[in-house]
Amino acid sequence: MRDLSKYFGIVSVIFLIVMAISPFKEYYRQWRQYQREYNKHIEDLPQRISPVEEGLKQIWVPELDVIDHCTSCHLGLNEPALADAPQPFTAHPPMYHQPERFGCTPCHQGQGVATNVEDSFGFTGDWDEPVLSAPLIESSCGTCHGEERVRHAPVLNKGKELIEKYNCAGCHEIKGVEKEFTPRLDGVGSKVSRDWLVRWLENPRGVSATTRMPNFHLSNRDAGLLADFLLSFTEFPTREKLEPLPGVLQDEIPDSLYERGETLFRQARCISCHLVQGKGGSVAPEIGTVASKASRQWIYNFLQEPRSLQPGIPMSRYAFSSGELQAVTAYIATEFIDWDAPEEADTVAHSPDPNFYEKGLKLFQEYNCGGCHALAGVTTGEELGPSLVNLRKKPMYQLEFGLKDIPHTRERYVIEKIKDPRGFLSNALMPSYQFSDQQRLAIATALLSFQQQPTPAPYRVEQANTPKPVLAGEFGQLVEKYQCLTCHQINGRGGEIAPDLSRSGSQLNHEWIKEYFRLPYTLRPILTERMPNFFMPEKDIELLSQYISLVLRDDSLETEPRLQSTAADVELGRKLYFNNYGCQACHQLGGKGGYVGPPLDNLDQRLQPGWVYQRLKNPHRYQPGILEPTFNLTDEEARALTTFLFAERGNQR
Amino acid sequence: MKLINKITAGRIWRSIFRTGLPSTNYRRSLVILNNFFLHLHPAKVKKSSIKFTTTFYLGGLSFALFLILTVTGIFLMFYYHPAVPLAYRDMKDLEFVVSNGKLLRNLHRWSAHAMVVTASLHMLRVFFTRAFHPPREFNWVIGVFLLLITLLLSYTGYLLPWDQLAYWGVSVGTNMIKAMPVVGDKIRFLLLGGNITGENALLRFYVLHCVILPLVLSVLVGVHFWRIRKDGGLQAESAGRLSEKTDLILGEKTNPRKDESLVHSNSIRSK
Amino acid sequence: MNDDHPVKVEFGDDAQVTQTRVAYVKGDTSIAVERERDEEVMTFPHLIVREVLLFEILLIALVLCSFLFDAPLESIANPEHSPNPAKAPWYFLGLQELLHYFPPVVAGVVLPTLVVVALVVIPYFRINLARESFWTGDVRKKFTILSAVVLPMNIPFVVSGAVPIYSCSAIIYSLMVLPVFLPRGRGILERFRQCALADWIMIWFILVGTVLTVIGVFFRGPEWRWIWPWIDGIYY
Repeated sequence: MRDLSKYFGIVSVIFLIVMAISPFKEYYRQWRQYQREYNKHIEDLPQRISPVEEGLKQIWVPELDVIDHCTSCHLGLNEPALADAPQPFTAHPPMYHQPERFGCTPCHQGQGVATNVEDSFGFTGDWDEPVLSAPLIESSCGTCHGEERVRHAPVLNKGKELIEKYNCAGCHEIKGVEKEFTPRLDGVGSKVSRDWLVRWLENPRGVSATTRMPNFHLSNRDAGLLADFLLSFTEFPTREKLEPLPGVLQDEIPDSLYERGETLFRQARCISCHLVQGKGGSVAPEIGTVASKASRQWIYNFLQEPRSLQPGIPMSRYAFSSGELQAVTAYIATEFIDWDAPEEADTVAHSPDPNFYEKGLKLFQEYNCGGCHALAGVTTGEELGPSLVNLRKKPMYQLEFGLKDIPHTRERYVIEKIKDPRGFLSNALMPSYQFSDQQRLAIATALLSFQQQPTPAPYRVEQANTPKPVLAGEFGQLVEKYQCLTCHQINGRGGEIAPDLSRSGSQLNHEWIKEYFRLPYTLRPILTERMPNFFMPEKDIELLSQYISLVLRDDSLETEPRLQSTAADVELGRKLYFNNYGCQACHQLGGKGGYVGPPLDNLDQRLQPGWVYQRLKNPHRYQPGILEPTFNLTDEEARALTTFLFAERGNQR
Repeated sequence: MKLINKITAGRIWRSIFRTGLPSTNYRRSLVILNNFFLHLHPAKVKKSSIKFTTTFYLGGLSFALFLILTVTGIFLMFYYHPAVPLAYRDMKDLEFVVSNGKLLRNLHRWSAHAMVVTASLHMLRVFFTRAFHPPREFNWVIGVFLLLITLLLSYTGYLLPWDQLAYWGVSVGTNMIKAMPVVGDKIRFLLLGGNITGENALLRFYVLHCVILPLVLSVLVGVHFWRIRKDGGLQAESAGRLSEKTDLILGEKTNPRKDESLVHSNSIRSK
Repeated sequence: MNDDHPVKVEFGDDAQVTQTRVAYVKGDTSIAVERERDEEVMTFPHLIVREVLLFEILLIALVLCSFLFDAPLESIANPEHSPNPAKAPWYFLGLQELLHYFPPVVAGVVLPTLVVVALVVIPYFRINLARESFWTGDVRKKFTILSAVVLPMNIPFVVSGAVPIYSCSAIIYSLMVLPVFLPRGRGILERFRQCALADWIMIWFILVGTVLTVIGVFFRGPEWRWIWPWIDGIYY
């Protein structure tokens, strides 16, 4: 019994100690430690920051179903003085959303309810949504923001752009992205040679480094079968046959015609959109070797009426005369030959596989060529790839990592999948794209913003649904003919390469517009894309300029300030221009100044004072993205500057 | 010291603690007999019965585990909603937010597993020592049911965290019930409150786990103990050695209750 | 328990000092009173201290265990995604393993019911009360009966390919029979010889149950395929 009581005593002491461990651990929990550390840290700072009251902090957003304890340790989020403090006390960079209303995890992901580092970052256990790494953070913007361009989210916007450009929707289900089926392949048999097509199918980038088409890694045999299949389509969608070549183009091309074509090619500014030998725009395909790709007859017909061969493409129809047309064709056909291409092996006549059509069709369908190319009589637009509409929330077990030896996280999966689509499963069919790291990141950001379940209504921002009137009538036809909307916007439709024309009538002088159509000159020398010369007939110029001046107006710009050309105003303007605001840093005036903005010489001939005045007052009113700084000029200053700019003409002459 | 004496001698103290310090054997027996919690014990026990190797205290361990499970279980009930998906969130809350919540859940979990083990081992011990000699046959039967209820308790509790492990572990089991001829589907429906393991199943399992099964277990444990006590304490050590004749200690081989003897077998004066 | 109050069994006539133990004995039970009693000790403190001690040690062990190992918690239940393999709690994995060999009715209903019934009726059969060695009396006859019972009983297991079960039967049968063919007095084999039939049956039952459970826990992977836990890891 005495032994027993000894044990009883010892065990009881141990018992009490063991029972005390848990409260002890509770007292030294990580987040409590951080809070104590924080209070110690801020004491040493010169600024006065109120210490944190010890206790678990929580952000509860019932609408978003969010309970976040992140702020228990991230204590300095709203303290600018802690911008350089060590984590987790660092101040948050500029925040667009208050965490009290939005929580932390809707943007950053991770396990908000957790109260220690490992679990809250979500890299442990079964948490499907670990904290997003910083480069991909903009994907979260896309979960609520459905606008085409999300402010402050350049990576996301870039990604969405790329997804659209590379037509990911051709094979994958993606919400809100339209499928594109150009170029159509009808008539390809009348356009390209077999050798070229085989080379192209084997490795499109090997033929044109800038093409959007990915590499399907086809074997030579498969490429041949597919080429034979495609070449059997010789009829174009809108007409059966190509117009025959004029006689002068059928044989050796005379030098005079070539030279005339070269001049016209320059004047038409084809390289505003097309890349030629490393120079030119990126709006349209590279044409540096087009003569080795397309037949001369096709080029001739295409220049004559682009959309009869490829409906829906944004190529302008130039108003060439038949002579000019011949000259340009002659120039293109002789100049743009791919000298690196292997010798055409037409010594041995090619005899296609007897079942080339069936086999080619099978390949066409297997690789879902119809996802991107329309072809008469073949179904298009099937989504053979997995749906991407819920990639952000897709359960991890549904992501097949297969042979890939990478950390099993969603981010790595997406980025690696874009990088090496076929490395995951041996039978994968997705072609490979040659994106840069930046592009991959942008695409991954956009893809990771896709989730099926939309965020609740008060948090959702949809694309503003302003009506976008379709341009009708003769003006509409001309806009279609010259494909103005490829570069310009009118009433919310069109590209963003060139200025918005929606209110050009209030900006520009009518006469200047006409002159500009006749001979477009370069306003902004640093831009690659320049206004082409369409060789418009006077009739078209008249109609376009009239319509612009009379219809595309904004009355709020009409209230012209009283410009008194007093010497005092001009002098004040000059002082403001050169001294106060240093406009010459970006703009040319009198042969001096920078090249970032357009030159300001002869401003009175080009612009209307109302516009200049308003624009000076608030440069970002109509073009939110432009570089011009907002100086918050007073009415007085804006008027003086306008007066100065319009008066300066006299000094130049 | 004087103060302590004064307090312990005072009316209030005496009204609460009637026995006083157990300084004599009389008082020591009163400690047992006068105490509600201890009165199931006899005032004296056979020395052989309390030897560790006799029983390995397996029955006692099982009961201690049951007590621990009851206490931790009641605490857990404060933090638990038998609903989807709240149930799972409560697990996360226990882990991250509730003070000592993780310990609470871990204790409950491991105690539950331990209780299945100790109860099973207890059964084996009883079997190999033949401790179910008449008149204890039925107490063995009660013991078997206690083991089954222990399993059921553990099983119903398994679903409550509502995680993948719980859900599919339970689904495997409930699918087995389907195999029962004729009534299988009906029983499964009754148990799950539907045809799938869903929110209704969670609620039913919760009620079973927290109310019905613990009640049944408590009652059966009471009966189990009562019978041991009435049958003269542990049979344990003696059982193997006693021939059938010496079994008469408990009043022949006949029903002990028939002879109306007021037997505290171990309170029979030995001398 | 200090020295002033040594704990020992006391006897006395003064009921106030020494507990008076009473036996109200009637009629034919008196014979029991004559019997030599085991040594007895006071419940308090002997038993009570042990109980408290046991409870403390148990709780210490459990708390330490709880600090070392966290209760598992996987992701939230998802009825659309069943893990592979989906395993029941460990104490039912023996049953789940049975499902691998027998149709669900047998594995899920018949066998468990049989086990419960068998357990319940144990104390009502004399054979289970007996403690004498199985090999008493006519060894030859008993051997014949044993073989005649054991072999046919295992035929269903062999037919359904329940390797763990009939292997266990084979092991137990060998252990039972082995001492018969060997001379007496050889340590552990002698203990086997002394073992009662009921004990053998129980040992067989425990062995089968343990083996099935261990297989279910450690040796079964996706699609309930056989795996080696040290190679493929433990799927539990």
